[in-house]
Amino acid sequence: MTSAALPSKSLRAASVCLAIAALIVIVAVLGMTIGAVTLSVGQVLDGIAGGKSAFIVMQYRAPRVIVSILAGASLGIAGAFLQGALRNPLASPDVVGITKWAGLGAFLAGLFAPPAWAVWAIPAGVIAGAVAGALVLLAIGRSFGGGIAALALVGVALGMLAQALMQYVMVLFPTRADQSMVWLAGSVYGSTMTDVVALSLWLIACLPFVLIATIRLDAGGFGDDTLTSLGISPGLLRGGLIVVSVLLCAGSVAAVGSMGFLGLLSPHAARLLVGPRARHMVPASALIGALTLSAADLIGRLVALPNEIPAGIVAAVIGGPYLIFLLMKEAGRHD
Amino acid sequence: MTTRGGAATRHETGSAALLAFCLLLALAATVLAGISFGVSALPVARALHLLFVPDGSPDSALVWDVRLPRAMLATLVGANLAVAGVLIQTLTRNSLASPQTFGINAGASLVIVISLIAMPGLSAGGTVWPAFIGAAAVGLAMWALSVSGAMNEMKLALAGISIQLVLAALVQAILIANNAGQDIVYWLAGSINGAQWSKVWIILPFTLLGGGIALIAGRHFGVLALDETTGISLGQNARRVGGLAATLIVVLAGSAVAVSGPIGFIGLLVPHIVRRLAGNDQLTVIVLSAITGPLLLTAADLLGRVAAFPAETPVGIVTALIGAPAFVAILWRQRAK
Amino acid sequence: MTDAGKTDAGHSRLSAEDLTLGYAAIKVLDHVDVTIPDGRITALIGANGSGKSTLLRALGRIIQPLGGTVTLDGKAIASMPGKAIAQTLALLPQSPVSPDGLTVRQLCRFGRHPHKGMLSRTSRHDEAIVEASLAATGLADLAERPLDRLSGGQRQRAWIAMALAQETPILLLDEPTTYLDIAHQLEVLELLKELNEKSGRTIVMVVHDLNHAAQYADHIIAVADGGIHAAGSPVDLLKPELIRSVFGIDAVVISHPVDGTPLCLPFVGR
Repeated sequence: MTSAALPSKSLRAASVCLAIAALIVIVAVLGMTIGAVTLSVGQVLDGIAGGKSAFIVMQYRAPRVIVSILAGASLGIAGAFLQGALRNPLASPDVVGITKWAGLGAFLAGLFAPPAWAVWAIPAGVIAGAVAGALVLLAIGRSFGGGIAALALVGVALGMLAQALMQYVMVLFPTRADQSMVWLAGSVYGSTMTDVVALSLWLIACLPFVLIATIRLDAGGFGDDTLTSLGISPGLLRGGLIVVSVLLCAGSVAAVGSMGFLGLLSPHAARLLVGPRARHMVPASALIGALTLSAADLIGRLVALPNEIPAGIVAAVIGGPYLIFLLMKEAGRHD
Repeated sequence: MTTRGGAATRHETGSAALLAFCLLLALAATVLAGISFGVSALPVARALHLLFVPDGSPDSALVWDVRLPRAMLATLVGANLAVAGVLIQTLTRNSLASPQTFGINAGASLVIVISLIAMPGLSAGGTVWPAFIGAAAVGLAMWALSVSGAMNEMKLALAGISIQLVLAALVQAILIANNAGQDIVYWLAGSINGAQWSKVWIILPFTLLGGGIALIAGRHFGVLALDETTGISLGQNARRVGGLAATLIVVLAGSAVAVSGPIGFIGLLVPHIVRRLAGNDQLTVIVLSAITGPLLLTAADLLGRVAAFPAETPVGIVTALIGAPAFVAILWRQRAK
Repeated sequence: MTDAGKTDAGHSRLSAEDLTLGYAAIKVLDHVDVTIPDGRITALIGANGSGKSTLLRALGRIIQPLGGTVTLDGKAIASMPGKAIAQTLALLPQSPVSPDGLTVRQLCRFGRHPHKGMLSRTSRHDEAIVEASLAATGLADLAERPLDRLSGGQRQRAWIAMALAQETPILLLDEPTTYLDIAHQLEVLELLKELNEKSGRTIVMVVHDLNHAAQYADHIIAVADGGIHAAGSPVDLLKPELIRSVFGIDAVVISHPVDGTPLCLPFVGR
């Protein structure tokens, strides 16, 4: 690669990201204006300034749009880190069960915490659950001798366990089941400005770790022996990437529930568009995740009126064919 | 010389038969326990008596109209799933394959749910046909991935699980969009609550047919487990035998899902347990799995009724709670390879 | 082209005429004729990618030719039912796969598969054959051991035992010694020689080591440049000019000090 080619790759990545960002803006505008009550752009701006439509805009639509962008971005980044850590393109926070543990934590917290504490208890439960799941995964991974081939599958098994535990608790306390189902599926419904602020703060806190992880991500592609020879501890690298991934997941699960697919597919789409180098791929993955989730939320709000289909499910439905395409590409590679 | 070979065979068959007998005894005991236990508990002796001599009393009705069909359903579903698991692991030469991890259960569920919503008048017996369609569609997709040779064992299992997650999300979407009730949610978890004889008659022919063919063709399926070239060298038409195995998998798993929802981990774990106990002769594994599957599922159902007493935990949740750690144990045992 | 070695162009049950093998656009072998002498050990030699394994697999009907025919007992092999072929021809692949935990005896039993009807069970006759095959390959004491707990040489012998139980007069082996260390290579080759001498089995094997071919084969077929470069006895075939044209290396050929067979010694001219 000549030195002339490098800047052009970055240029291409930048223009792709810009294009996606533009799409996000369009979806955001649509999200603000379209709905059960259609508003014009003027009315939206008026609402932001505190005018007539302030309630709809500021209490209902704006939080949804912003949360879906932020949560989608964090899931996109979390997925990229996880796939890098496990060296497995099929890994995602959902597939390896981390979002399910987060969901379990939230569910238990919501069940057992006194209602007055709910606002704090549920996010705390999410973080506790996600961290617990990740710790168990890493611990089992270490006793496996550090090889990562089976790690993703262990994560899957643990995720199934978490899901079963959650279903078991739902059997014990059936009155909360309906609500939980929606939340579990991943939904931006009911987001408030508080959610926006909380999520933003959380992401800002995570930002330094994200930057460090992004810098280190490229190394993750090498085998353990090579890493050791280069003086990098494979376990530490892997653990670090997983921890950051878990933190990001926890934030988004707390805001929008269990929504895994974005973590699976955003990194792939990003890689297709801007190449595998972390400094291009991670931001692209974030943007694609944000776009996918906000678009999914929009579609979910409109397509089954007056019912709403949770964004997580819409994302899965969109993601399904893409997943098949992905698998076929993987299969075709070796033929 | 002949005596040595003959002795070895007799020893093999003998120990397999002994194992089968012990498993059958355990199954009988578990079924009896299941029939005795419940909100109105029956003494075991009375339950046993009523099984042979129904006397029209309320207790008798309880045994014959509620608990016995439930036990029968658990037996048939357990057998279907276990044998389907054996066949799919042999066919794909992948010990992590199962109707669940390869998304076949999820495919069946999806098409069932779509059919139930599109055709509200669909009878319980009618759901097997959508189940077969869904199971076959996913089965075909996974089969294509498997033979492409691009994915190793674990990657293929991950692919199947990803497919399963998408399909499960689709099912949820449909349920939510249609304001589905609590009972469908229960069904999704995999349950034999409220089992009736009608459900037993629905699945019975498929169990007998599928199981019967599996037993007859057992030896041929064994050759499938060898590599492709050796199979050709031995004169086997892999396409035909493989196609038969695939059809059996779809029929067995599909009919199980149709009557009891997607129950996981039986198809995955029973073959491992049986192979651990009795070695790798295909026919032996099929026979023993057809007994062990019912044993485990009946035991899981009993556990589900005991654990949150008097509430009933769907059996699919129990199998997941026990099966997930067991899955990790299997992965751990395989890690050296 | 020299005579087909020791046989005076005698019997040949397995042969190929005008055979073209390849994949889509790439032809590996183009219009070749091959004759496998009965009751002899034939070695297929050639450089990597020359098509020797492809040729073997075509002879064993594992792959279909793009053109030409493979003939077994005077009939086109493509038109024969699989089971009938399996009673005459057995092919041991390069990397055979068996399920975990399968024992030697259980593997050997698979060899009886072509001789059993749709529904038949393992008979006493089958068990006797299995026992005899295990004895012939020296595995009688290891019969109940799982395959993955055997050495490379023992495992290869177990697969040969299975092929023996198939009771075929013709045995094809795709690189049977490639993944074995030298002691096990000789173990397997000696076994094959014994099988050929004691029961007159026709053996065709793909080998990399020219000297193994020289010592154990009665007939050598050299594959190169999309065709059969030469065929004949080791003494006639293994000459420096042929080695140069088939493998692209220089070699000196001397007479083995122990048994007089040709011994190829490659060197790099300085």
